[in-house]
Amino acid sequence: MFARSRSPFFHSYLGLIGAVVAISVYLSIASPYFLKVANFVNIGNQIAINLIIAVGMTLIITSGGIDLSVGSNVALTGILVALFYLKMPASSTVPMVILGMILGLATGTAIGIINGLIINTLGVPPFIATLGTMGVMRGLALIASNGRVLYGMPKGFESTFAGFIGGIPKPVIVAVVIAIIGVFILGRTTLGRYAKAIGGNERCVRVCGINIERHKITIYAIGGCLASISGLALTSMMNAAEPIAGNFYELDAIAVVVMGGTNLMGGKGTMIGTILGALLLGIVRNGLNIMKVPANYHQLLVGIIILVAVIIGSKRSR
Amino acid sequence: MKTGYVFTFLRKHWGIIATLVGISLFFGLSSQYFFTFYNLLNILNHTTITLILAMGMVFVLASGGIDLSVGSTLGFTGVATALILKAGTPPLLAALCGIGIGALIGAVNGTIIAKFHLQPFIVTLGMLSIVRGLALVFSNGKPIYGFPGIFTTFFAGHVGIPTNIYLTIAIVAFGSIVANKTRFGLYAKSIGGSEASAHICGVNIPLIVILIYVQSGIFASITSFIYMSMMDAAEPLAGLLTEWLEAIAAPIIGGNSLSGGIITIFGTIIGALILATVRSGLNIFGVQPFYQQLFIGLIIIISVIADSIRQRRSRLSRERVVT
Repeated sequence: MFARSRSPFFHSYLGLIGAVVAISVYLSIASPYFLKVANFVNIGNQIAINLIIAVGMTLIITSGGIDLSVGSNVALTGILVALFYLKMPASSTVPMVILGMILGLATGTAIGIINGLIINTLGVPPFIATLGTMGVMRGLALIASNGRVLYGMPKGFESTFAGFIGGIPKPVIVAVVIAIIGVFILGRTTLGRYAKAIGGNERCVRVCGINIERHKITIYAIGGCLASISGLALTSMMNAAEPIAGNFYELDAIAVVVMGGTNLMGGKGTMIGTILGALLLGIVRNGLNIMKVPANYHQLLVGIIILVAVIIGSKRSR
Repeated sequence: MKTGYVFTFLRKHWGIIATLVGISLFFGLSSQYFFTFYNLLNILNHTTITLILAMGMVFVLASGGIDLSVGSTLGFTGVATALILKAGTPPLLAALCGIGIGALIGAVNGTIIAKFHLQPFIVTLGMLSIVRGLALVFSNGKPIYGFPGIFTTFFAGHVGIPTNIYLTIAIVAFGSIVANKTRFGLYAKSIGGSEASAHICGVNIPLIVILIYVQSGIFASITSFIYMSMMDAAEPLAGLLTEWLEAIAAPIIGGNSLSGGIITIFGTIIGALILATVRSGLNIFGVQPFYQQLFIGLIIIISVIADSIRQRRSRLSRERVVT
């Protein structure tokens, strides 16, 4: 991965790494809470939820697409899984818990495939197609739950993502594994190469005789599946499924991907950048909280950081 | 000649006209309240906010861009104008200040996009966050009440029909003239059609891009005046989701392309009417808001699919002519 990138690793990510380190050093000096284990668990969990979605988003944006439906996907997955556990008999047994999670993954993957089909076979621009499915899936989540928050999932499900392995929170482990797989897929597999090629020049790839439709649908399916993993983790961590969960997650994920240096027009993607972008956004959000910045200022500062990161990134790429 | 024009016009727009008529007939036949003067007026009244935002958005879309920050701009200029009004400034001056703030936000958007060659999506996404943050900071997160009567009467009063409908008609007429008769409209379309060709033809691209976003910001601030006058309160969270989504959805339903190059004002009007009609009909039926989101999402998908099929067909016929 290091050998393949044209510019040296540290050069291309210097800005992001510098920002992450600088903000971390500042926070650990300025606040007694930052370097606490509990705070790291908190940051880790927040970043994990965002990063899992952002890995899929990186692949999608690299291929020249976009997926606005991931936030609704998170909510619908949570609601359907919760309903499954609440309605099915013997739902606390291990096979049923596993079945519920498979159902969740299938939901997300199906949403991704639907996105891919609408975009491909019907030739609808990804922005609009997923804007539509965003509305539809959010509507379905609200209808299925009747607008209420669902509680009372079996213990087996709660403990899937809550808790620690070797002192590290489980969602963080899941996110790290997914991010590593993401780096591998984008950098080392045919799918990753085709994603970049399709984003770079779709017509050219088509002329080369590559089955674009199949690859694009796979990419959106992966994006949907990852969003549903994030939905499962969120539901399990909160021990509740909210129909309005995941609101604006799509914007966070897109911001992180673009901050990392992936081109919104497609053709150029970097998974490492996405990981660093997610770290930066997570630490900034956490810093605003522990420095007791009034909540009203959070959005303002996060917006400024996104813009500054993107402007610096654009200078770097030129 | 005249009939030929009408014929091509109808052939271009028959899909969305049929959709609007079909939806209206469906609701009209199933509910006695739908085709009442009051309800139709209500639909028009609700169309105004979407439509004014959309008038700015069509130029942004035509240039191949997108403006996600209009909803936040709506929220912030409302809050700012309300604070200026509360400070005792004359309404006209306060409105001008509000318009100035909207224009400034647009200018920042346009400058960053044009000067740094950044994606409009991500720039306006950042601005969405910043401007909403400003609205929350300045209002302290609370709605602001109590404006002079003359302000609310001007933007949401009644002279036969609601005054905001007159205002919207004026702005749509302005948009239509600018889109079809001015160099600015032509340049906006040419940038979206082919930026390289526009550049070669000597179009001052940065200037036009900045002006396009300034216009979008100004229209968003005018929308905020209507919104705060209707509610008699300036809410920091005004325009949070539906407003900006519909401001993009209406032009797209109407046949404006996300990839730029075209402006259809008539389509945008019909698109905004379709959205408002569906909302009104669902309300009359007492459908829960949850389902409304579902239906709006479906309408967006269906109309865009119809548009893409139409485009493909016209492209095929064009290719046939060439060969």
